[in-house]
Amino acid sequence: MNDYAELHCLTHFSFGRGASSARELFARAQRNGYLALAITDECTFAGVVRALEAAREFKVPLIVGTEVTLQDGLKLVLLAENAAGYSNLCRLITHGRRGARKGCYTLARADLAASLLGVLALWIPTYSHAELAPAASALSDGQWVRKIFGPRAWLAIELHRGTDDDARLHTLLALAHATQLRAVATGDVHMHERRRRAVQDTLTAIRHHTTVAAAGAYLFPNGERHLRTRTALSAIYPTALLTETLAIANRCTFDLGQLNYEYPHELVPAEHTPISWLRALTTQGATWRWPAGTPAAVCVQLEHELVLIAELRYEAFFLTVHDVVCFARSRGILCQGRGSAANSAVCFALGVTEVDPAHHSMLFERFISKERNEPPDIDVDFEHERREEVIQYLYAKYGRERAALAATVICYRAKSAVREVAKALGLPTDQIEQLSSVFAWWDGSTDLAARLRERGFEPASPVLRRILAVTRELLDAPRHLSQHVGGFVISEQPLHHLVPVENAAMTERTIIQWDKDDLETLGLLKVDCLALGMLTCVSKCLALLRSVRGRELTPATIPAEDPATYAMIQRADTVGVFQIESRAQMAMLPRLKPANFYDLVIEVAIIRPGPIQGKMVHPYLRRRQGLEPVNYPSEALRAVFERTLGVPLFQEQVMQLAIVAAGFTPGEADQLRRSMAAWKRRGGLEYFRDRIMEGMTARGYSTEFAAQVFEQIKGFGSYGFPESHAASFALITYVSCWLKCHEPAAFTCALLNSQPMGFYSVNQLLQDARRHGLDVRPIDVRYSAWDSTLEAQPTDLTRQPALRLGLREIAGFSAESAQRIVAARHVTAFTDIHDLCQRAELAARARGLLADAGALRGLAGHRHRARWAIQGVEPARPLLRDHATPEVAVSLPVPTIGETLLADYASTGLTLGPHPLRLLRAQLRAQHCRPSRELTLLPHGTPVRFAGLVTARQRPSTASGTTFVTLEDEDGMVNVIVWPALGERRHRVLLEAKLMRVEGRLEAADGVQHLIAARLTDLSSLLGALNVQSRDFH
Amino acid sequence: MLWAAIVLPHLALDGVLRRHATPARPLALVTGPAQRRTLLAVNAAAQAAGLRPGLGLNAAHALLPQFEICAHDAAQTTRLLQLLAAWAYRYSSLVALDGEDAVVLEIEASLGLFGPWPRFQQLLRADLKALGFQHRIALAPTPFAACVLATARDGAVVTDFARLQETLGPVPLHAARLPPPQISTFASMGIRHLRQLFSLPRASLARRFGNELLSSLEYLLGERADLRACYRPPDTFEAHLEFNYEIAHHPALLFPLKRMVGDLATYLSRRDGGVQRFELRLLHAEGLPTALTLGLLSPSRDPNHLFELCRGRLERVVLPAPIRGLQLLARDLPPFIPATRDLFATRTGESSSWTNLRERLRARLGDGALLQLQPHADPRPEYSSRTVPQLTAEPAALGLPTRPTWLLPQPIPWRAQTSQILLGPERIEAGWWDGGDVRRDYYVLETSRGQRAWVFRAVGVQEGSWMLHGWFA
Repeated sequence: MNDYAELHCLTHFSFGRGASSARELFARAQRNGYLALAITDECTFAGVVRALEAAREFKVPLIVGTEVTLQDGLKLVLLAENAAGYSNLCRLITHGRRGARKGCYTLARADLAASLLGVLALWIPTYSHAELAPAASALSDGQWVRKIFGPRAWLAIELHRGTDDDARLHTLLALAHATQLRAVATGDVHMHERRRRAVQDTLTAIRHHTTVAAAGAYLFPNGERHLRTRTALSAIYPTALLTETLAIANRCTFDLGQLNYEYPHELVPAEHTPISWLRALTTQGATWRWPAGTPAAVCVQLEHELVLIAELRYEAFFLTVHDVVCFARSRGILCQGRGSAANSAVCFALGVTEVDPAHHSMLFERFISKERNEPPDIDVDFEHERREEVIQYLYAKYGRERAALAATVICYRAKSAVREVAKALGLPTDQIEQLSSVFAWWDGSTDLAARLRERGFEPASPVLRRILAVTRELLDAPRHLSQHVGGFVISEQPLHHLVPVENAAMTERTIIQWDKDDLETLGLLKVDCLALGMLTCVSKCLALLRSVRGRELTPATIPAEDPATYAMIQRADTVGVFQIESRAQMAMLPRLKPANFYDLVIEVAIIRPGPIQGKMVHPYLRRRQGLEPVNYPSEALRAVFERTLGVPLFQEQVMQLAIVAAGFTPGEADQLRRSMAAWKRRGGLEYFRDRIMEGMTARGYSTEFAAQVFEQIKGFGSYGFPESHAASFALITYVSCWLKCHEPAAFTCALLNSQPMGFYSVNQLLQDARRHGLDVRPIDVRYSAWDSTLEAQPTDLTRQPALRLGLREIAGFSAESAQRIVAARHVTAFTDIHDLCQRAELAARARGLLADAGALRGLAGHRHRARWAIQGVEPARPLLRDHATPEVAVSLPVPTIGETLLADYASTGLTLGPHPLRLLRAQLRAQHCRPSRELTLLPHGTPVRFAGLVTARQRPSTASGTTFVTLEDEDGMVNVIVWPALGERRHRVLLEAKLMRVEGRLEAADGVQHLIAARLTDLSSLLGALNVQSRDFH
Repeated sequence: MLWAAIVLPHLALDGVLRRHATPARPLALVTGPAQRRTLLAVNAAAQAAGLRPGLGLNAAHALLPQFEICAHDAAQTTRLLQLLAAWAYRYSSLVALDGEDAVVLEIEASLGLFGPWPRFQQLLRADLKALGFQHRIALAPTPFAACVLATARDGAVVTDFARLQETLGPVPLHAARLPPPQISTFASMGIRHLRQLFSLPRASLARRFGNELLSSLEYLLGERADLRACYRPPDTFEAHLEFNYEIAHHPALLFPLKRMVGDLATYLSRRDGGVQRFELRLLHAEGLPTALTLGLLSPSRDPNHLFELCRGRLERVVLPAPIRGLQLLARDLPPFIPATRDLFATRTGESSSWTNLRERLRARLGDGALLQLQPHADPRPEYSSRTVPQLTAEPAALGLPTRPTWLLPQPIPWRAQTSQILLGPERIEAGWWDGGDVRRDYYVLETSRGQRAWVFRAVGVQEGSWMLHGWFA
């Protein structure tokens, strides 16, 4: 048995070709005793970082390489011998990818002829599997390879039990001799073991847009392209060819883990070092933040942070983020840092985050730790409509060579996987649709077989078994690269020395081939420029206050700790605000009764999978309501847990617990946090268990308590929420609540103009606004602009202004038409429909949309008359301008309320008339359904019947199959809980009903009501053509 | 004149159900592109299960997992309407079609024969019931008004113009046989009945809806003569020949057949057409006739060509009984396109001898008798070729690996003495996708007698039995 290193191996990052992950491949390479494994995905390095992780895990050296096929068909495996070679390959891949459309590449011989120093080339003479000899051009191809790569070139011989392997071996050896190339054995590996054959065949068929049965010409005739045992290889290849693999592997000394990356230098003025400049900016910022003098504790914190930043050489990173934030401020773009960065006083001083370290205890090690040696992560939210300006600024400042977005790896999900597999296995289109709809809500736990039978599939049939088997193997495999939502990688040297860059789907966007996990593994820094709709809304609201109400406010000058605002929050009157508007949050508010900012921080953090799964919510509530005593095992822990009444809610608290009670260093505590996040997947908490038990008992805690603490930490699992992040979000929550409380008209108006965002539809937001007595005025061409606007109440300026709906609410109406209407109206008011259509140059479609929306009421009267009028508009005749042919007046019936409602919903999805359920109320009464107004007066435990429009369905992963449904009637919303058993039994009603009747029992506690469903009925037929869209969150 | 209109509200569905064995099971007619098929019509059982026209097929499956699906065939529906027009022609010489679902006939002239109207109506309804068509019938002084009334109110009768407008007034617009976009535009203006439409100024209507609407109203009320194209029975060739004696052998048929085909050719050239498909029926004294369908690749009217075709086919027919008569039916009579002739060509048809041969073979042996072998890309040897009925002039070229000249239909156990392994193993692992997964190592062996055999055994089985799969030449 000979030693062997595999030099030609694809992972599933060769999309549509490789059928195994790097982990599977390295695990098998280790079992087979390979001395090295090259990962040579086709013209991509997207999988190399995962390969590096796998190589480290299984202790098989990784060789980085790539397989390329040139335009003329020449096929090569290129391996990075050293850092220069790696960099050259990055450049080559970038060149090939940038010159082609997304997902493709083009390379020609000329591209390789340029210097590829440090690159080893394995030439693979092309054989189609039916042919018995290499292409006629083989000799000249080989000579060209020899000429370009000289002693760094080999001829790779790949034998896969084809028609005549002996003949092939001899021909190729002769060819190697003729071209003076050394021959080497390689495997053309597409999967880690033979069993993946079905997946590999399916991927091949998907790649060629055909079915497996019709893909014969593209399929491999057997499953030999896996990592074969050395025994098998020894039986196929002469020893010399196997030994040659080791010679090549030994030459490849490049280590991806040692990548040399530098942050941009230009942000530091000539007379400064990076740290002195950061120190200067921080001092300057501290003076701005604390005009009365920086508190002593903060000074200590700043110094502590600056020392650590300098030690880890992260100055440039902070300077870059500072620069981006300064740019946004200079343009009046609202922005705010979030996440763990809010644990940094330096970030606060630099204006990146808004959580004041003087008021919050901070744990800088949550953000940066020496032990971790991983880059910090600063996420900055910008107004979602203006983030593009920030991105363009980054491109302009650093150039496209040096700045690019990180990639996101899009993986096969159950629905997409089953769809493609079923297609490849030849199911007809309508059955594919059926099948994928079965998988749409499939969370892996519910009874798949029953669901399949319900849709007319037989799960035991051979076809379906094959589809399911391949689908399972394909789940979570990467499918394609997409762009990350906003993670920018910026570097001093051009990025393509470091990592290949390729085109994204959006023109003018480029992405690197690594995702955020890859960047973290390699220690590359990225700046997350994220988009946040609520910031847009706040910004627009402040602008409205300035122009219409004459109030000059900024997020910082909005009065803090306002009792009226908290009173509103305690009533759960929070439709439309940030974070605490979801039904789960609204159910918590009346119990938690937030009364100050820190309560808000807790509110934001507590309705999360972590605290829910860790069963922290109820203990916290009981203690807060005084139903349970609060006690602390020690004074030291009182300091840690006092702010959350002894219940661990935040990641930072777990870290502090480890520091205070078990003697961890801050860095170690951060490692503990990270292991906590990963233990479910990888395990490995035992080490920490021992340390915690040991540390705590040494500090006088009982063993039981220590064990209990450890279990609690485990329960926290991957979902614990950082306090710093909650605090950042709570700031925006408070601002939005204050605006809703004190300036509801401007707030609602800004919300409408920032759509789509948030949890509620425009219709729901307006229902809420009108319940609060706001004067909402219909769309009218005489007054409406594109956006919704505020109209002052001339009689009483203290009253909230009226909200005039904008033309943007008309489905399908264009902003250009709206602009022309506004411009024409500005010259002089419209006299009639003819005048409007002429001067605003409205096309027939736009006219129709205006009439349908009822926007012509001021010029033509009700909808029927408006439509009659616009139908009669004649094409413009230049010489006869302003002279419409006179017509006899006709009489048309006035639309009924029902007609108006249907037309409202069809055109704008909202109505200012009566709620649809008001129209149906008589029918619902006949069915003994009570309105929600009556429900609120009923005691706990009352059996009731209720019907409402389904506005949301949620099945949180933490609720183990329970579905939460929000129903709306003319008076408000009712929360329905559907237990899994009922949900399974009636899932069609649950998923499909637009108007649902629920029979069940009321549950009321602490001012929160739920309806526990016992029976569900679909009443959608009552709605007729009502176009009510539910917003489904999965 | 008085016009009876027969509206067939479920024509397409009736067309399917009338030839369906179990019409009581849920059934739906579907239409639209493969990705977005929608229900066009459903039968009563399907309707009871909640299916309705316009529903997407997926949504329908969600409601009712199992129901029968028939693809809607618009051409078939058109043929049905033609059939009904032909039927109506028995009752009136003035028959016309309206839209895609109605037939109108002038009955005043026929009242003497079939009248009075209530009796006439009974006759029509009885016929339609027997034919299996749901229907609505009305009588009015204009054809369009009759159609509108039939759509709106089955059995309505108006005989004089004076009462026409008044009777039409309450008809809802969606029954007024106007273009659907116009109906919805009217609905959006609150105009829902013909009465409202009649009351609006005609000039304003024309300005908004064009002159077609005005014409429709004028046709409806008889203000303008409705000169619609009348139905004409289609042209077909049908010839019938009865013998006074029984013929037991086909040569005796050739002469009368030649005359019959000659008549057909004459008929064809008179209407400047050709024939592409016709039926020759051999009538027997008792029992069903023997029917031979003859098809051509392109329309022809050459008597010799047609005769040769018939003769070739007749020669192969085994007569179940002596023949008493001949019948020739030609319904498919497309326009004739003469073959362009080269000015200098010495012999025509030489270049297309393959086409002629193919046509002859098919005429002689039947359409399904001619097959072509085509390579098929599948790693498994037994699936690497297939026969296709479609004959292409050029067989597709595909590189094939070393394969034996003679592939056995089924592998058989190999018992001969092996003297030498010449090649192998060639490993083939494929076919999991259709349940015929094979995993085999193939070898080329030489027997002690010098024959070269292609044998395999299962992968990974050292002591497995050898199977013979082919012989090399």
